[in-house]
Amino acid sequence: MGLELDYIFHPRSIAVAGASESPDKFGHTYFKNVLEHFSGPVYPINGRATEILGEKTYASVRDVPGPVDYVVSAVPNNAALDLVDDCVAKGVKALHFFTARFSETGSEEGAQMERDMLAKARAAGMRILGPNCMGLYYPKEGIAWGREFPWEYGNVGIISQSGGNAGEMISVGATRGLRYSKVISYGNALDLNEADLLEYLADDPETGLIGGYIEGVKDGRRFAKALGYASRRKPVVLLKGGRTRAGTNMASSHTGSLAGANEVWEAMCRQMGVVNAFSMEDLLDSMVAFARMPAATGVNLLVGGGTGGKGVMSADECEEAGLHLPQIPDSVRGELVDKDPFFGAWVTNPVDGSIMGGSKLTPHEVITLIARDPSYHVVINGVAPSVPSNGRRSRRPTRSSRMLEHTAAIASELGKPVALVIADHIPDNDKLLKASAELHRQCVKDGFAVFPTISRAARAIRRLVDYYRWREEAA
Amino acid sequence: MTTAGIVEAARRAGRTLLSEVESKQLLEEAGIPVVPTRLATSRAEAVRIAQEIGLPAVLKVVSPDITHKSDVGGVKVGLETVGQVRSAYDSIMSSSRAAAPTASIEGVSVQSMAEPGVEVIVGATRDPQFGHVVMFGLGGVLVEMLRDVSMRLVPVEPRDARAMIREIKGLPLLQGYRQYAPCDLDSLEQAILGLSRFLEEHPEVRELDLNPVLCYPQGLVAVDARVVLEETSP
Repeated sequence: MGLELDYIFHPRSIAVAGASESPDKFGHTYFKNVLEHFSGPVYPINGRATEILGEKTYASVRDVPGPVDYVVSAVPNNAALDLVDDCVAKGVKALHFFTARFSETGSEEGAQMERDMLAKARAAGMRILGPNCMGLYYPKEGIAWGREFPWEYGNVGIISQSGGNAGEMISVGATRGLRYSKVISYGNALDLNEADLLEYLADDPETGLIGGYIEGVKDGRRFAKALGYASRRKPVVLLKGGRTRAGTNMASSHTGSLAGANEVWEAMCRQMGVVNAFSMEDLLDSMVAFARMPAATGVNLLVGGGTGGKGVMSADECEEAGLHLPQIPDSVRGELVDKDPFFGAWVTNPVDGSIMGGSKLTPHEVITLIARDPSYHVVINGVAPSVPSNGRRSRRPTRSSRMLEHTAAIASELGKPVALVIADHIPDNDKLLKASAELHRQCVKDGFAVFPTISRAARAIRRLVDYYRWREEAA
Repeated sequence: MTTAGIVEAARRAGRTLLSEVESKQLLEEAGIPVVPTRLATSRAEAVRIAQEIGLPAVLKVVSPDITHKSDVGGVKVGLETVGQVRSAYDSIMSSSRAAAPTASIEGVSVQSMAEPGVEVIVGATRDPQFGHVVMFGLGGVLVEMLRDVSMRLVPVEPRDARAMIREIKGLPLLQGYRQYAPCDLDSLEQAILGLSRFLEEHPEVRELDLNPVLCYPQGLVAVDARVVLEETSP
């Protein structure tokens, strides 16, 4: 399987069937993207225009002078079967159908067309991706469907039945520092399905973490097995769409009536070590945690940066997420008292930064000192932007930039997972808004896992702990 | 009769629901302890079986057409004497016939009365996407209300079986609570694993309930069993 799929990910040349001159069409955007970024030959296939973006067009894939490995189809669905014939004749290895309106419409005609397409492709040994999907985003090779996707690449691999959700993962994930190895939107999964793609990503050395959006599964037994295989190698985070759709299971036993589709999916995820995300937000949070934090070895958490009532609330939220906030050990307290007798005596976890005014220790010095203690496995630190008063630019480093240095030191020195929390509320103050956005960008750039609330950070960390525990036991 | 024989007989009779006696035989073959249960087709046979397996006994009506046996007066428990077994047989037959005149009644199952223990359910169903699923939970009549259950796909591995037992909220009840002694969790794990192996070998099973299974400080026993077959052999 790996070898066959390599033609999709490492084509020597790409043709865009239905390449278009109108800038807002998929056949244009896609062609423009690969033309500008893909290293091999790129051919526009179009029967009317003579050239697109300065490139000579061909009326058919068959007319292209050199070999064509990969074809992207933006042709109307009534031209799909002819395109399959052309591609087979040309010896194309893989055909991606952006083209839609097949079996997903529920029409028998559409389903029959799919069956015919598949039969022709199978007979020739050509693989089909889709139909009804966005296909491939492989920034390292210069392949992308979205104009706004980053070209910088990373190690997050994605499979998604929905192209829209895949696009959201890429774009929103990018602002949180996620970078991708390969993203595959596979739509109707006529030929290549979720299990094929999962197996490929599980063994893909460029992919260190797998995310996914799944609605239906073609072969559940195989998919479950592939998940177990993948999870033993790298974290897998899935979001299941259509969870609330009622099962049609006519049960005549207690077990039958209790084991609905959701319950079984959840059980399957637990069994196979898969993080079962319940929303897009949860999926992204989990991916950020896995991509940007080292393995967590336990649930003992140190929380910093909170103040007063907020700190109390955050302690509750973290406990609810399944983390523990151990009190500061006497030995550590002793060290704090040595440095500042007044303050060291009453510092607690969560560390309340607001009551440290006048102390000889800065809040981040305190956090760093406590975080070193082996009784803490993970750290969540709240960060807020500091706005210079009167618009004067200070030459001294700001409080938050010093804090970031210290936090980065905790992360690198101790090898402990550190999550940052930057509140994402939009302040009615342009300076603060700008400072907040700037701080967020800086934290992401510095490699931190950044979350908008403590409870979301805590939940993501708990997922990290659970996964690595599962993997250790599964070994 | 062997498992294959029981399935075959049910198929010939056009039944997908196996009787309690048949279901228990199947599970006994899978290595899951069940309360000794035999079918009596006459009053005299009921008495003889009761004497053989030992009093006190429980008698239940056996009919493919009666799902809720106690609703038709088809269950008599705590029968201490031969005389009580005799009159229980008569009473079950007459009240079941009166309550369900069209039901075909094969006879009465005679079983020994199990010692009280912590009631759990061990079951299985076939998910349309993922195939056989094994379920465990706190059992008895309250299982569907409490929904305190855990599940895994077949094949269930030992670590999964352990996790299933430890996942339910009612775990403390199994670990010893008030008048309940701690249950033998090893035998529970073995029952879950035995059921998983049984399902791997029997794709024709669509649904299965062992409910209740009584858990003891040592061992366990399935008191009631219900197996539903697929319409056609897969």
